[in-house]
Amino acid sequence: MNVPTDRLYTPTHEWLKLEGDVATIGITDYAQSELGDIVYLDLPEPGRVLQQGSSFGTVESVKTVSDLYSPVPGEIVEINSALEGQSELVNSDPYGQGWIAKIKLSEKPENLLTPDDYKAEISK
Amino acid sequence: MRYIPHTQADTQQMLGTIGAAAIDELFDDIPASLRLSSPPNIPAALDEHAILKNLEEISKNNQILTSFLGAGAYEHYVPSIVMELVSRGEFLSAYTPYQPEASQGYLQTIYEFQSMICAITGMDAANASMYDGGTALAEACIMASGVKNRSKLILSSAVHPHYRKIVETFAEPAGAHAVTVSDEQLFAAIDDQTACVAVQYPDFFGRVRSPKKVIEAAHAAGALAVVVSDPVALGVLNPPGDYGADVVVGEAQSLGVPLGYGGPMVGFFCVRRELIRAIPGRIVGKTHDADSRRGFVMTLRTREQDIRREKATSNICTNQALMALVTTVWMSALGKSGFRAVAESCVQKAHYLAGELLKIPGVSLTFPNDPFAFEFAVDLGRDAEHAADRLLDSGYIAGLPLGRFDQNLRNSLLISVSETKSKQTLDAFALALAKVCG
Amino acid sequence: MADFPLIFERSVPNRRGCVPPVCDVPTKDVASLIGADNLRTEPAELPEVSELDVVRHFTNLSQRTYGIDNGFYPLGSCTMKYNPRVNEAAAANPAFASAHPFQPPKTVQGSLRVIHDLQTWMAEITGFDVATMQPPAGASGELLCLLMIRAYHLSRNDAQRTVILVPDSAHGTNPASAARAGCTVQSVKTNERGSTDLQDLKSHLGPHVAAMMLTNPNTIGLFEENILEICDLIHQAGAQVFCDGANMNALVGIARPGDMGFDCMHLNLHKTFSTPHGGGGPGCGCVAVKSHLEPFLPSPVIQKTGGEYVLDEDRPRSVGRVHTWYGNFLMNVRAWAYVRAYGAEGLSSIAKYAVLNANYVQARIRHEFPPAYDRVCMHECVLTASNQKKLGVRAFDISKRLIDYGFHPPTNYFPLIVPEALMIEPTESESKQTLDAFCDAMLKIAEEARTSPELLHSAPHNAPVGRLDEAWAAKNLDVRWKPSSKPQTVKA
Repeated sequence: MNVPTDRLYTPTHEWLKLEGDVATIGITDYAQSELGDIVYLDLPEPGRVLQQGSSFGTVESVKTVSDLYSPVPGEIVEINSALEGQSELVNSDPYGQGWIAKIKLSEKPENLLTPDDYKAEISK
Repeated sequence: MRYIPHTQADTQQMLGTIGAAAIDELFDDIPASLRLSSPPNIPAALDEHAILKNLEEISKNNQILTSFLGAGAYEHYVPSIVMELVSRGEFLSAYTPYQPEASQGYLQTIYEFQSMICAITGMDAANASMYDGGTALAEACIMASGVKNRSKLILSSAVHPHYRKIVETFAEPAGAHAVTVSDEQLFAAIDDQTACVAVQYPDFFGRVRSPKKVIEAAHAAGALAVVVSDPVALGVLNPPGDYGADVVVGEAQSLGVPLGYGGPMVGFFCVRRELIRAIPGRIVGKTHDADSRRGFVMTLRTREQDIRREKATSNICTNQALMALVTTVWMSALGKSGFRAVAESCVQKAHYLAGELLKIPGVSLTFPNDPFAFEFAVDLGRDAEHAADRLLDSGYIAGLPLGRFDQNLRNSLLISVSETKSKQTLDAFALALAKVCG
Repeated sequence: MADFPLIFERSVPNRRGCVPPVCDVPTKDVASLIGADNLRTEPAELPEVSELDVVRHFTNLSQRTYGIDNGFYPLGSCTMKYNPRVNEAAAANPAFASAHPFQPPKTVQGSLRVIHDLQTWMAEITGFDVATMQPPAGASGELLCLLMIRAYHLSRNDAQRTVILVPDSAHGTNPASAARAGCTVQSVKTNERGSTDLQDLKSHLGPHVAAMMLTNPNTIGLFEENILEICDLIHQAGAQVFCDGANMNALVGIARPGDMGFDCMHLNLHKTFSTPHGGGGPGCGCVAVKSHLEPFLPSPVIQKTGGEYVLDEDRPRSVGRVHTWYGNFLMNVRAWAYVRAYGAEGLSSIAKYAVLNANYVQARIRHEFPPAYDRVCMHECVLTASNQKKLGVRAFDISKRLIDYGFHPPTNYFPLIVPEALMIEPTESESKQTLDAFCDAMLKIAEEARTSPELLHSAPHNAPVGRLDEAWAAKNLDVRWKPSSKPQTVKA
């Protein structure tokens, strides 16, 4: 399972990559492979303010639905519009073109997992 | 036993494989205090001949009469091929097509049902069926409440009273509340807390009142417009979709399903495409296999209870698939021109009968200012329950006395006429009614 | 091979099918009768086909559908037993089939008698005081029970009870119905024996709990051994216990949920009482209750007074109406015929042979497909494809391969707590010979999983279509045919 070392993770299988005070977030390679073919994402409009760990949308495969949890506190500043109509990007490139949202941090996030921690988590 | 094939030898061999001495041992997990020591107090077994004989006797206590009842359940001609095809064992004894490769035939019939219902209502998408018209309306209202995140459900008082009762049953626990208002007060009742406005077209009293203005008013307030319709009436009337309805629901029994004392019937549920992810129940969609062969599957499954559980769009699981199939075969058998012909014939015969009844002194239309399709209310100038009771003695179920719903209408009878009534039958009925009212 | 055509693709302009009755009254311009503004200008796009086209189309579609009449259909949790044809003959009786639901009750005493007989028998068979046949399906019956329980608590000024407990093994309809009843759901754990974990149950009980929904036997096909204690605990906490009757086929004539302490239950006539499943419905979700819930039954209640059957609509404490009419009445006629075919003495044989069959299948193939919980099962066995998963073969693949062997697959991936579940419910209708053929096929597939797993991954091979792309269907929604156009896709 691919776990890039240039970002941080959550136990609920989201990743985030910080650039300044904006975090790009998505779901991990492990998450997409467990879900199977992703057919739909239900995502909010930009502007929504989230607490760390709050649910902000869902990702759906043919026979499962999974909640998306924000790994950071802050305001959604951008949603990946390419996913509308091309939800398969989350499967094919979860850490790149399959990113889900950009969130402007309001506070420092806590209790995130390092790549090694996350690797240990998914090999349990 | 009747439908159990085991011989004694089979049973012994099977117990041997299991490693049990007797079948009773397999029930050891049930505490002894809970095991019945004697059979339940129900009648003894009958052979097949006796079962039919007994039911035949019981059925004689149902009177088969010439009926002018409608009010949400309509008698229409059903070509012989319909029940013949629907009662094929493959259809009858299949279940929900969870394994699409083993159920292509059934799935295709559902896709065809969805297509035909959409064609009749003028909508983008339909589900695979609901229990009946009333529960379909309740689902529509609850969906609207969820989609709009508003709690007020406005129902026209000209929506079928049983449908309104069902909405009231389910709305409050689901966090919404239903208010019933007359058509005159409908516009004033719509506000920014209104999730939906539901009207019936033609309405419960048979009146054809265009839903256009109500739909516009609902949209102006940010609410959904829900229209309840009888699909046969839509054979001659503009489809609600053309007026901009967001949801069209109703009872599809009139498309070839036997009255069956109220069930099984089949509700339909149609929406504009934007709402498709919010709708209850099953939806069949087109797809293909690895060799590009067309196939059909249940789709948008994540809305449903077995996957979404407490967040599902509805708790519905078992639906009315077999009755939806009845309507699909019926619509195919009548076809484009036959369907129109049925609807037009109903209209002609209803208006002919109305004309004959209006010749009777003291009889008038209850709602003379509204056009009607094939169901209308007449004021008999006397108590309608009483008149209907007397007509029963002449072999007629004359219609539905309306006083039980509204005391002001106690002299009115709601009469429905279908293409199955000949001129001779209509003339004889008019004569019988004249005697009672004369 | 060409695609099997849609009925619309068989359509030819101006071709006519069946002919409706002639219009023999003097006619007028339809627009003048219904109002010119209301007149539909474009007829609905229904197909234009001949009567023979229709017969062939649907006959061929039926042959592309697998039912119990085609072969073994061990779909767990669905009780796919034989649908006796005498039931169909009985329901086709015109006196039953043509009765209008608004007919005066005195003209439909026969129909009312059938409903009354059946509700009386169902109450007796389940051990409750009274039953209603109004709910049209199981989920509707569940929801009705929760609404009655809610009304009961409210009548006792106990309004804070809004939590419904469901086992982690429950059907999805349970939590979905609880949500519809305005309640929140808490999940109760299953223990290592496949039964309700009493400690976990106790930790959830309290003054906020309205009810527990419990299937017995549970969805793992095991009898809740501690059912008396479970019901006691819940009652002591002031809550009610609902029995999901989906698995009544294991108990009929043997034991009664009413005696176990349940307050109410629903039954699926299309499971235990043999009415046809019809490709997904209609069902009938009879509900039976103890007397303390009787005031809340849906209106109208069918009663017998002085030799006459009446519709009692004077029910001030009723929760309302859950069906437009009286439920799926013609299903009652079928179930009436079925109950009489067995009678008082014969009823228990249904459960006995259903349980024998399930245990036989479990015993024959358990060395390849181990049970999720190693116990004597009731009417169904929940086995797992855990051995095959190690070889890269999933329960799903095994199911698809079974289609090639001429069997309908069992239920997969349910209950959710059992990984790679294969839930097999043979029912009492099936002979040892049929079960042997099925078990042989399962064992053959277990062998194939070792020797040629690719056969399973790409199955089915002998069906009208190969494995279908469900993801494509969800992403490119095409849910209706449209006239004269390329395939339409709806972007939702």
